[in-house]
Amino acid sequence: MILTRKPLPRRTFLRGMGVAIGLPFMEVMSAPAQSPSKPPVRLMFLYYPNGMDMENWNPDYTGKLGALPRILKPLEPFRDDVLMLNNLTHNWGRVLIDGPGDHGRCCANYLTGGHVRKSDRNIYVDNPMSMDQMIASKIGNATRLPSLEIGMEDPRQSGNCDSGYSCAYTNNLAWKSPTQPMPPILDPRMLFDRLFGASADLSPAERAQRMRIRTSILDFVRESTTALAKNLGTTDRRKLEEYLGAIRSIELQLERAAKDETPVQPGMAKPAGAPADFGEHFKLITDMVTVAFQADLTRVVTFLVTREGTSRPYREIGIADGHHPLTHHGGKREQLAKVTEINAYHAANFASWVERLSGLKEGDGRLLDNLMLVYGAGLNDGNRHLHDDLPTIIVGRGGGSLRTGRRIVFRRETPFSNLHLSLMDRMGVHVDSFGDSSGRLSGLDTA
Amino acid sequence: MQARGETLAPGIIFDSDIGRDIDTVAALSMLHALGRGRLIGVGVHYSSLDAAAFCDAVARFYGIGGGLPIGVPEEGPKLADVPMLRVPLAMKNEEGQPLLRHVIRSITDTADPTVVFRNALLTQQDKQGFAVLAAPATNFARTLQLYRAREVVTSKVRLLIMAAGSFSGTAADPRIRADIASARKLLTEWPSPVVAVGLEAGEAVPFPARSMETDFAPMPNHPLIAAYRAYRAGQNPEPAGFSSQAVLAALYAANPGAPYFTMSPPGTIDVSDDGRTRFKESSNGNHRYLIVDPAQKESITKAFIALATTRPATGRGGARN
Repeated sequence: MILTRKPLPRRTFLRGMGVAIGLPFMEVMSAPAQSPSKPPVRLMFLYYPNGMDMENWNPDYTGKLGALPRILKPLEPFRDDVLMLNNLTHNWGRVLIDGPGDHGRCCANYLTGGHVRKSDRNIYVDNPMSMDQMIASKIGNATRLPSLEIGMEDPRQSGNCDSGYSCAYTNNLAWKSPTQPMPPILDPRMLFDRLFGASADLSPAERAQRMRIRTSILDFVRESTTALAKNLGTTDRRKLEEYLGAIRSIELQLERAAKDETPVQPGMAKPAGAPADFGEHFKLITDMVTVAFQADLTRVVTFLVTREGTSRPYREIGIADGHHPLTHHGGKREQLAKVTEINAYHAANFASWVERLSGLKEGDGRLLDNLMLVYGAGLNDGNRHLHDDLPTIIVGRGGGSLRTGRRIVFRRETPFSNLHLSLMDRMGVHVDSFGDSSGRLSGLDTA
Repeated sequence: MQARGETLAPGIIFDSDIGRDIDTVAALSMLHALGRGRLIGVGVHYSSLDAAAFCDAVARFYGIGGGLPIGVPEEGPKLADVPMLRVPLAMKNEEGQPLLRHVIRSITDTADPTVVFRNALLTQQDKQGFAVLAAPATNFARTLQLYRAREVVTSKVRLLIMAAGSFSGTAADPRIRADIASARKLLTEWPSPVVAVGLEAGEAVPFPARSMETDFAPMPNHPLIAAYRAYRAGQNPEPAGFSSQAVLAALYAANPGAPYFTMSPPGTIDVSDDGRTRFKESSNGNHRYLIVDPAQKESITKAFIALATTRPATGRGGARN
């Protein structure tokens, strides 16, 4: 007689007092005698503003990645997981007949691939929705959150942020419709609650009790955790402990951040509940995204790291000047060097996250094998406001659908929207065209 | 760039079979000579890096650098070794440096012509742009198939001028014969009015060969001169001139209101199975063809030379060079 057990459903939650904690992929979720089910592919965009110092971004070779230039140097240990793409262009970011406002256009255009109406009142992006929302509309019902929109600064959704372009354009990546952006969550505590339902749907009594206790959400799910652990093997139990430990670590970061009243700089407030230090803030956000990916809470994330035109200084690395003014360096080497340092600092923080991700197992492989982290900017050279050859790398192997460790140079003017089509394919969403696409990118999955 | 509401001279997209005849080299030079912002998109018919490199070199000679990507079909017809392209590109100065600089080394340095044309037209106010075709219709017809490009062409293009066809009852134009399906598609689906410049018009008012040595003397390194000398080297005796079919199309795009042009009544051009073009007059037709009035030949020739010899304001061909 063959004994069989029923596999644990992938969408199992640890529950208690309004809390619902999703679980990472574990062996117990696969039926015995069957090969483990294939983990889902997840897509995330990390958007950086004001372009890049391209001299220190692009290697001087194509093909297999070797030594990486100054900005991407921190990613060198993970270069086998990096796919670098060149010559992708967003034509709708250009001046065309609309005049100044490159920062406003390039952000709103980044995931929509459509024309951005020049207005600070009647916002309109000429595409039914951004590509992340198109994915969410097709596969979002498979996860607790159809998509996740995150940011690190500036909540403004109206007013003029760039030469007549609304702040809604510079401060949103995701668009649910031509007139409806999906504002990013800026408060890390709100993000935490969104992921774990930690205060949503609570009765007033429960909420009051939660506030009195002021303790870890793990306490609320202790009973269901214990019950689950009894049915887990050694490997799964260790995995669960590590996972819950990561959540506790996030809580501690949140507590520290809540006490941090330091502004980013005088006159420039930070989002409520966020650390003032860029690196700490970035780590807090990305730790939460890691958990969201592990628990398959969502498969589509857009992260507006900082907003187009931001004048955020980087005192963390000794740069007191604002980012945007620095990028208009006019060729002054001292200013340009600071831009390079900011770009490299961003990449270093990202590389730290990639390092953390690379150690996480999922199924027979690594979590990173099933991710597509698109890291890049909506402008090429921030000084000249160029919209061709947008700096773009993808980290992660897209469930084996991306052949990484290479630099691919496409033909000039290749629409960035072609990348959207290719990524949507890998997310199981197949459409004939998107934005200003002219086709799919070829060669992403071949040597 | 044109600011909203600002009226500037119209921009021109130009698709050519450069490398086939010297006529298109002259047309390309003339369109660049109109000045910055006028020639906004350039494509070539052949899958030829030499053709792309030559177009890039001409752009740089006129002071327009990397901002003007060259459209090259990835799977277009091949072009054999063509001296009128190869020789100018190989010219060196005393230091051994190329006289005509370009940056085309591989196919990735070029662009899909359909994207080039669509993107270029988006820089134009509504009904402002001109499209000039001096090639088989392949690239322009493909542009119409690009997602949402048809609406761009509809809103932005005032006129398509095609240096193709024959309206004197003679043989079929090779440009039509090379891709009859695309020619038919263009003539039936292109949304703007069309003016055709037939073979007979180009032959009626040839570009004078003597002008190459006399009128261009102050610009000995002009790419048109270098190309012409290489082109001429294979011909004996030296021709007195060359057909100006593409040059006429360029000149018409530059100045469609010039008094030296005569036009057919409106009608419809269709293409027979052997590539011959037939014109049928009709008051609601969207097509016309250009007629060379013998009395205007001298004026037209002067206009050719004046435009072709306009010295670039900047670039390698500029005054400081």
